Amino acid sequence: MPSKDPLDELLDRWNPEYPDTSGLQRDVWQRIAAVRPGILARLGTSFRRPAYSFLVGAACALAVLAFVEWHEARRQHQVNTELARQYLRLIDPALGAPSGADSMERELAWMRDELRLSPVQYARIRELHEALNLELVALEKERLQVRQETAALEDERRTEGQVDFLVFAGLIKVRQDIDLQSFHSMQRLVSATATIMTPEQRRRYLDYVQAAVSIPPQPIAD
Amino acid sequence: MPADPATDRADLAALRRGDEIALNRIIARWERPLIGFAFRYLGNSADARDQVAETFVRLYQNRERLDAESNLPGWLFTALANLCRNRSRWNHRHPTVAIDSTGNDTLPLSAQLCSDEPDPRAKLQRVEMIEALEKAVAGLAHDLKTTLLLCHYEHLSHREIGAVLGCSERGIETQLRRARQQLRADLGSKFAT
Repeated sequence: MPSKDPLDELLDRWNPEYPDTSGLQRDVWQRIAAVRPGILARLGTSFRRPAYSFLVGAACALAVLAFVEWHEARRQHQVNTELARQYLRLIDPALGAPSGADSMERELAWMRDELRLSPVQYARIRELHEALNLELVALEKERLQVRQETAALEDERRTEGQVDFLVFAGLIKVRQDIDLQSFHSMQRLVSATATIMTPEQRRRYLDYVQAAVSIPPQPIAD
Repeated sequence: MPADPATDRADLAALRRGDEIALNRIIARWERPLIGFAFRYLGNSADARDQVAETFVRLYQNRERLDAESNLPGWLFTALANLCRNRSRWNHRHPTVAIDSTGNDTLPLSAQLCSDEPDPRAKLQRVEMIEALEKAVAGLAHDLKTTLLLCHYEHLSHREIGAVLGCSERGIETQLRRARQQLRADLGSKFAT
């Protein structure tokens, strides 16, 4: 059996007393605590990793897209609300004076775009609204005349201290009839317009005008 | 090698998941082999302990970059060997006298000679041989020294040492042969006595 290499024997004999390792764990954790980066540094480190940067970038892009989408939808909703309000004024004299031809043109164009009316639908709806507009203009003239007569009676009551209440009551009754007639005209218009539309168009259209058609004019208090 | 690879992998995986106690288990298992390597490499207990602690700190800092299948001892010895090389260079540029520059300096010569051993002269000769060996090892180049220490004392395979030094198995064999040749050359006169 060959004898062991003297160099190996010498290497085997080199067994120095190891340094004391007690407390090494504590020492390691103290060093880790000393060099542990703050939140910002850790964020920076995380962003250096492609997966994190991609995820954060994608999340930011989605958030921006969602915000733009939400903002555009909100703006469109506001525009639609305003146009719907103007349309209601067009068909409901109780909300204001009947609009002129320009206004009607604009509201009908809005309805055509918003409800995606076909040319045939648009033509028929336009006829209905033009007919109603004429009717409303006539009713508005009557309403104006009644209002002037009522004002004259009020002046008479103030100056002379008395008034013919039968005439006054008659005027009030005439005003109520005019309002009711306007309301029924508007209901007929809405009903006729809705009939021309597809179910989906009708649903959306009635959503717009529901407030106007569901509340009949209240009796005049004055 | 103090642990089976499965235990190392399990602790490394736990550390990557955020189980910081796993680092304590790794330290408990690997501190002595690492200290032994560092102490023989640097010949200084304070430096050795310092570099080993730094090795574990770096393991913690790099835990997320390590593959779950990483060779933990390979990684530890690679990091430690690099730290020891840097420390050795620094010591070379900034020479100091360490309190325990050699293990036997803690005993005065008279105490060493007044030994209970039957032949104090033989003991003194052995002490001188060990000191000569320490100096000879210290004089080896980094790769030769690391190869010798990992092979002879930590019993790493040539493949594992190759992974530490970024070298092939054949290269490690060559380095080991050269290291031994250089030690024999440095210790030649002592062997003759």
